[in-house]
Amino acid sequence: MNSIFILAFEYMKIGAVAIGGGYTVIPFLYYLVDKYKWFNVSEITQMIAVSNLTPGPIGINMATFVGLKVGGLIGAALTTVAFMLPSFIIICLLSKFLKKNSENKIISNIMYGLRPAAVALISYAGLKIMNTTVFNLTKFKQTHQFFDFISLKAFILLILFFIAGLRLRKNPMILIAAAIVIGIFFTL
Amino acid sequence: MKKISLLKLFWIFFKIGLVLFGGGYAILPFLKAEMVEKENICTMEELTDYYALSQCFPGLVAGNVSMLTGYKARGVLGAFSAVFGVCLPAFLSIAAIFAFLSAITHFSVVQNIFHVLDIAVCILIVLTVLELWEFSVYDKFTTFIFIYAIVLSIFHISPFIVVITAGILGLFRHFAFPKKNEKEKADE
Repeated sequence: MNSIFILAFEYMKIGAVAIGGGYTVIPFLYYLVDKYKWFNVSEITQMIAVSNLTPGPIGINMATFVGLKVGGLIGAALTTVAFMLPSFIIICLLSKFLKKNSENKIISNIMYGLRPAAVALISYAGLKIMNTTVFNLTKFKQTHQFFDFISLKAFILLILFFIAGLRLRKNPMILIAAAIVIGIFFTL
Repeated sequence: MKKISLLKLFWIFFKIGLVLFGGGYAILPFLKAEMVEKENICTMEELTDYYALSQCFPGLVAGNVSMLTGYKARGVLGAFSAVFGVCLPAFLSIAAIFAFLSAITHFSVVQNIFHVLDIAVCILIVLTVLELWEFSVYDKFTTFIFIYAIVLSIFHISPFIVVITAGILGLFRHFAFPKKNEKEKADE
């Protein structure tokens, strides 16, 4: 029982410092393994794989996983709540501040610089996923074979999804559902 | 802006949490479809700002964007409903499969579904970028910031630094060339 509270407290600290999404939590998991031996390093790899396969934010998947390992369902619930608490408080304060200062010149000029940066970060995230699923630059550098660089089946799917996506702009959830169905019947 | 019930807010975000694969990057098209188009809670510009801000504050990107949008709709309780909704599927799915975990990840069908989902997520990101482009990257300065942020990302500079420096550059430009900035605003 005691270890649940220690874990929740550790996770709250992670939640207060991990900036930039779920993957930034991973180094902290290695730190937890070192300090408490609740789980081992190979379980972290398994955790990352499973978190990728399940819906929802990866950080929550991993927090639930660690919580279940250490203290069952109660442990999992406590860990996820502790993990989200710092950002919840910070975001509420930030929202309050933004609401009061939305017409502020300084804020609007900061946003003027922020927006293109946000678009760039999103583009980069897309490029990163594309580089492992459709293209494979690392393998191409080793073999110099064109079909190691581009997976033809994946590329055709990419084009099809793009056309479908343009038509499904109002309902992107259908695209995800379609991808799951295609994944069952069509082997890449 | 009409008032939305907390339960409905929770339900919208629960649905988004269910279809959120591959981290929080793909959350924007769903938020756009639900919060901008269907419910008129916020504008696409605001959503982009939320996304950029989410990267520089602690916590999960998807969680932070959800909280900011939820706060816009219904204040602190709205932020809570949104983040609870978006995280719950992640929690439940891990809790459900925890017992027979290693068996699941070894099925080739599961890996194949994951692969196809990745391609769909790519397209969601591409569509997001196309959508954000027109009001985020529209003059010399914003083009410069876009290229700057992409290059920094390729060199694995933390998104935290990318966003903060982009904001500072936006502010700097305002003070360095105040007249030019105002003229552009009048043109808009």
